[in-house]
Amino acid sequence: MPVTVVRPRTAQAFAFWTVPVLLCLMAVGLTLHALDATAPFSRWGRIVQGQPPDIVQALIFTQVALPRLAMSWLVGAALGLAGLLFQQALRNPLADPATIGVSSGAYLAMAAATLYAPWLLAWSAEAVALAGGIAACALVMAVARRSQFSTINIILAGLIVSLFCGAAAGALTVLNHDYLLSLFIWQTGSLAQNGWQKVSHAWPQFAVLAVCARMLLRPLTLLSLDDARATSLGIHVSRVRAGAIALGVALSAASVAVVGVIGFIGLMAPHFAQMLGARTLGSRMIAAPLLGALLLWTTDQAVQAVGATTGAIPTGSACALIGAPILLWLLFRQRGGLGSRPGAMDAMPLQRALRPRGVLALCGLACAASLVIGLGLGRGLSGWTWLGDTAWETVLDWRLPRVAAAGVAGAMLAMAGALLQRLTGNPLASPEVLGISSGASLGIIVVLLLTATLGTPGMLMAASAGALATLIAVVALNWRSEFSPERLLLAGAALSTLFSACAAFLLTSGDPRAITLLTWMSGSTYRVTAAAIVPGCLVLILGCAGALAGRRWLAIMPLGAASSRALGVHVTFARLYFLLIIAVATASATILVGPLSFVGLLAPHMVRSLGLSRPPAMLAGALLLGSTIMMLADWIGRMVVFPWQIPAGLVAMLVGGPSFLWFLWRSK
Amino acid sequence: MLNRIVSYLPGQNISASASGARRRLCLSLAAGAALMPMPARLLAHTASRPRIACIDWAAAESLAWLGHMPVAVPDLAVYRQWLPEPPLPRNTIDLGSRGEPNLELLASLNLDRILVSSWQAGMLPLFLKIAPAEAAVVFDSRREPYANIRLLLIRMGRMTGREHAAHACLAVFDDEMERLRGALDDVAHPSVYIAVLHENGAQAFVYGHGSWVDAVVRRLGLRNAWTARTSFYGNSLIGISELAAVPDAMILYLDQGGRTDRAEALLRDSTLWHSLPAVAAKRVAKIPSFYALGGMASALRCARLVADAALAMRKRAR
Repeated sequence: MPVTVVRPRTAQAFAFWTVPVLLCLMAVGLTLHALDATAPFSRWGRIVQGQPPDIVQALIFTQVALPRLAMSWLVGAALGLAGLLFQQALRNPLADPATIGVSSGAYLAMAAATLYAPWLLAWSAEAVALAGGIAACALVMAVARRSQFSTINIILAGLIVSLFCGAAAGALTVLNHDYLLSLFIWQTGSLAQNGWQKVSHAWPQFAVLAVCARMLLRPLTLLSLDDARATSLGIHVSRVRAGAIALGVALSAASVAVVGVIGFIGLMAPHFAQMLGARTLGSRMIAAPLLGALLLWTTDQAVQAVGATTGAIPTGSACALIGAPILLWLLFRQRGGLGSRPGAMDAMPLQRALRPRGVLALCGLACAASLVIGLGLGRGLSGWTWLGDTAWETVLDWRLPRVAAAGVAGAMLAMAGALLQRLTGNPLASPEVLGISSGASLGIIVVLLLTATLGTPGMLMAASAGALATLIAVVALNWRSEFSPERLLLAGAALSTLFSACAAFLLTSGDPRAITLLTWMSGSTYRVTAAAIVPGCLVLILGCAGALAGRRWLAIMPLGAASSRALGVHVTFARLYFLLIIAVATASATILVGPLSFVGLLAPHMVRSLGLSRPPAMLAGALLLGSTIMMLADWIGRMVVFPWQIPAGLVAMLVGGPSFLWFLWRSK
Repeated sequence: MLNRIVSYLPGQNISASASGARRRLCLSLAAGAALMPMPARLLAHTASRPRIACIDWAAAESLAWLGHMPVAVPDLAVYRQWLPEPPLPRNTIDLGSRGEPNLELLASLNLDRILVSSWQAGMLPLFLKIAPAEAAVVFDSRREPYANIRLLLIRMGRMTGREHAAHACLAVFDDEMERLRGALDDVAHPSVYIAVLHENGAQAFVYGHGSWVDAVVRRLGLRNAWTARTSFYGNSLIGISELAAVPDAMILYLDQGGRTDRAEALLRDSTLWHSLPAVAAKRVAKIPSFYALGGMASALRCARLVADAALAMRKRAR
């Protein structure tokens, strides 16, 4: 379904013109200020003539500051054009190299090549980035194809691919500790230059790609019509679309290869162009790259001005920090529908399981089996060991806390996910996708920054507050649309992006607490002690009791607000009641295993496909399967690369991400 | 890049310099443990040889220099690469990552003592469940890591009943520093940047105030060209252009394998790099890597590598 675009009136367009003019003035001012700080105006003439009074000053001026300026223009323009191509080809106002996963695919390919095939990078970094970008893009398109490339499915698939690539890169850094910093700096996108060679290497590539894009102008313009009419005008729709996407992927991959991941420029620039009154595709094709260059230029100069006092901030992080709220704003500006709903209520089969008790017993069996494996099967110096040859203290001291933490956290996330899916009637809702886990993590980060040390109660309070605030924000933003599923999901996606930008900024800031944050964020159960599990167990029991007490509401609420009211449910109160349970459960699970895992999505889904649909049975099944998944993830993480260990959250994400894509692909 | 630095073996050059019984004692301790891994392991089970696991690499290295091999060390492959001397025996057990060493494995090793890094002090309760555990302090708020690593060596000596060996090793170190300082007496450019190139080709870590590298460079009679702010660990991430601030300094950068190769590949085409005064005057050299967060053995290795690079540069200049 095509998206109706809001066309501004002329007066409005005129008002919008002030924004780029102001941006331009700001960029020029900041640039002149920065250059003047590098070398005073009076010396510029002599530097250009090659007779500098101060060699260092001249070097920084001509080999660092000026190439960086040129690079920000080049990459900004490339990203602006890439965003326009994606948005036009997919008829998707939210598409951009970062939101559809291309940038992170390219980044993962570069990270993997750094570690395992450095000769590939030496041969051509662009080719490596391109291969990764193409793979990620192909995956996203394959998932979105069944839903006729609906806006929401593309963005969701892109988000998951990004998260998955992030998790995979995270697993690589866990195993290659000394590369950690380099990989992070790449991920956050830095424009720092050491001469003109990168600029002179990149601009011909961008120029060729831009010329190719110009050649696609006419057929691309006709893509604004629907497919049938475009075909009748003699356009081979799928070929044009594929060509435009290929060009977009090439532009984004080349950008990643030279400067790393920089998000949201490609999203903002085409929208800006449209607001300024660029109606035709031809005019937008000129305006979007120019505005992209302007946006990145301003951001980069601002980052340098701020960084001069506080230490370097990666430009990519700053872009995400600015871009995430803009994504949210664009989201709520869209008047038209956002394409088909990903598997709305009709995809939730309400058939009863033939024998719910039998299915539940099976879930219980799986849970018990993973508990036994997690506790009993281990590896030592002499190979695999089973309970018989393991000291009792080993099991009690080292395995039990970790297995218990993983199990409890999995159960809590599964409960939160099951409740959310019931509440919103959306089978893709989960604490992770809605950004609630991210909110909990942000709460912890804020408190970590303000105080030196943090006990478990403090962590729990901070995380709960963050989760609740996010949840309330998401709900408030969606109140008018009555929890319209697509907006809920996209708002969560924007919040997750905002969080990862903040976290990445902290991680590259050189703060020693960053290491603690990193290990915690990757979802490790390593530091868990028996004492830390007690509050988690309490929250789990209270949450279960609370959810069971409200089981009548749970059964009624998926029918919709009107029907619920007719059946005597106080809808607002019931919603707040469950939201509180969800927030606290998510927060305490996030403390134990970090924000990454996708258990809250996976477990309820599996339970439903097993045919458990009545609230108590579904909750019980989700709890059992959630803890099964996390306990197995923890065990796999401990065994697979012994004596090294991969955090349970990362393992769960590596399994959960593809599963989510699978559900998305199956939902129509 | 030119790299004419010969590889180093522990104790090389020492016997050629001034004599001393304590020096020979120390040497024999180090060499003996390195050449006889099996007896060392057998001996380790006796009460006189406490079984020690070192999560901290500086502690592991100090123990190894005293001839008392640690039973287990984390991230062993990278350890062998960055702290090649004195070498650990082949049967040393790998504990996994440095941030999260495998506790279950650690608990199965029947240890007498565990030494962790000071930044892991928060995790001490976990380690204390396995064996008596303490932190090896190299970096603290006093910012005098050189004094700390000397103390660390003596502390390790006391812990293993080898205090005399620890003092002997310190004497070896001091004599060697004296000798190198004498050899470097007439170097033309006494300022030096000790750097690790960042693989983005635009930045580098340099060592300065608050690192023992700084103290070693000064004791060699050279001047550390980086005098501005540094982090807690005594290093600083700077732009390549800042290496031009002291024009007559030489630049020595550590060979950290693939990372350094990638940085070199980027710098080969960099106009900025080639216009740095040190690079233009060919006062730049790649030296084998040393571990700048290590102990006295690493400090000795660092001193020899820096001195040799400076001497080689002087020879070429003539």
